[in-house]
Amino acid sequence: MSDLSPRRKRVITIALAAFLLAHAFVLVVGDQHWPVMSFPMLSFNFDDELKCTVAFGVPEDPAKPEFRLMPNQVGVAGQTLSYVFAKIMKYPERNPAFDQLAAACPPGDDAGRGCARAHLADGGLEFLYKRYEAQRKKHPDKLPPLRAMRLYDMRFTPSPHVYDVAGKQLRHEWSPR
Amino acid sequence: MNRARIAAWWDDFMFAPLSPHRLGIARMLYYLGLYWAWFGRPSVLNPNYLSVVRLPPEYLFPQSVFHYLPIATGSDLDVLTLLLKIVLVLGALGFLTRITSVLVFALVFYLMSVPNMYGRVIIIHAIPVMVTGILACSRAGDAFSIDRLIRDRWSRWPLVTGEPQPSGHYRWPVQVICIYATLAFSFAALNKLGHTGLAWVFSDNLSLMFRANLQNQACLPLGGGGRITELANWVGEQRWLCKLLAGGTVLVELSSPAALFLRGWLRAALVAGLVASTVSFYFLVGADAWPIVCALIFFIPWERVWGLVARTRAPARP
Repeated sequence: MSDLSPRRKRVITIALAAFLLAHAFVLVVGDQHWPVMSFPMLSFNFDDELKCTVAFGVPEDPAKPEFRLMPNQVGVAGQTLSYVFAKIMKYPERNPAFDQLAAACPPGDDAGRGCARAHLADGGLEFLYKRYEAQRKKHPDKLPPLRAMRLYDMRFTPSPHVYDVAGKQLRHEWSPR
Repeated sequence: MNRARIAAWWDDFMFAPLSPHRLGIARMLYYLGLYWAWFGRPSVLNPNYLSVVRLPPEYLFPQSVFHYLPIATGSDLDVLTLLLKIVLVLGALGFLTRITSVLVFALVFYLMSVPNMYGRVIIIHAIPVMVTGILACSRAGDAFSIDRLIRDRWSRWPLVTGEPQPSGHYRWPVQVICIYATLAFSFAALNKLGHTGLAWVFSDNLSLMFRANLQNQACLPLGGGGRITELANWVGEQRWLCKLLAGGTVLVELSSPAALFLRGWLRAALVAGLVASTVSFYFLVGADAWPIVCALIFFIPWERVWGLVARTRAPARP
């Protein structure tokens, strides 16, 4: 027999029910509301075609091919690098600076969405460029100077080499002035 | 009649008296485990990622209360991280536990949330936020604490019960944390089956995840190669082993709620399965497993372990 008062037990039970219902809601709806999560980590089929937005560096030397920027080349965690540009391209309106950026944009059909997105992407790539340059000063022999940074929407398909590029579409380009 | 039975079962399951030792020992080990997971090795807090790499406002995509909460500067984040180190140790030792456990929660909530406002949300960071939140509402300092030692010698010491007896106050936090841990695992399995179906097990899904490396990672959320790239790549080449591991993972995750009701070796085997699947994903895929493994500490009947230790240490009768 419990020593807790019935009132306290009721409060704990109701709080637990609300806690579980919130998680069940997130599981059903699929939208995560930090820190109430439905734990979908690694639940997708990586044997399907994969799509993501990827940052590339374009070397100054036209003979050298552009290359995907890796976390160690820019000193930014892969988990930031892999997702932040997808968010900028997909829903720029969720960035706190969006209203201010959109208001400064010329009026258009999409209420400044495309223009604000471009500003955010510019700022994001400029930051990466500065990080890259800082790494390049330390390893000038390994990292070539860049003339531009690009964002691509990329598609990959599984292959004997794990993944092959199936498609690459330029979304944005930024050049250091 | 059925309603009365269910109510009685619930009362017993959640609120039956339990020795304070279980919650006290689990609190101590959990806080020590978090300390090791975050500060005993390189982690998002060691050094604090956002104070090392000051991400620009263009990368900020705030969620929930972070629409209103400010993002601390790098030096402030370093101070908060140091404060978390201190309160985790104090919480593990059980000094002013009612206060330190609230501070642990507040700091874990802030410091684990802020990195998730930039780009990818690392879902498993939510687990220590929730578990420390539950501990902050509990009387976890009534046993195995400096508070207890002081209170036994000086009765005016506040924030700790006089002479703790087995009570429902010590059971419900343990049960809520165990329910939350099994919810995390079972939801992970439901998501796998919901998003991918049985293909998650029977396709080359896991093999691809294990064989990926930084050069061919495509869009894999954790990059590629896991913590031991050679081992991950070797396991990835054994397709049958990958399917076996994937099937075992889904099975163990789906059956995790049974750990709430099973007793004895069956429960131990199920919890060991959860630990094994989490740790193998840590080595082979790279997902940070230790804060989840720490939460599983609450499944262990520490009051019995302590009883055994106390019996073996007791002087033999003449």
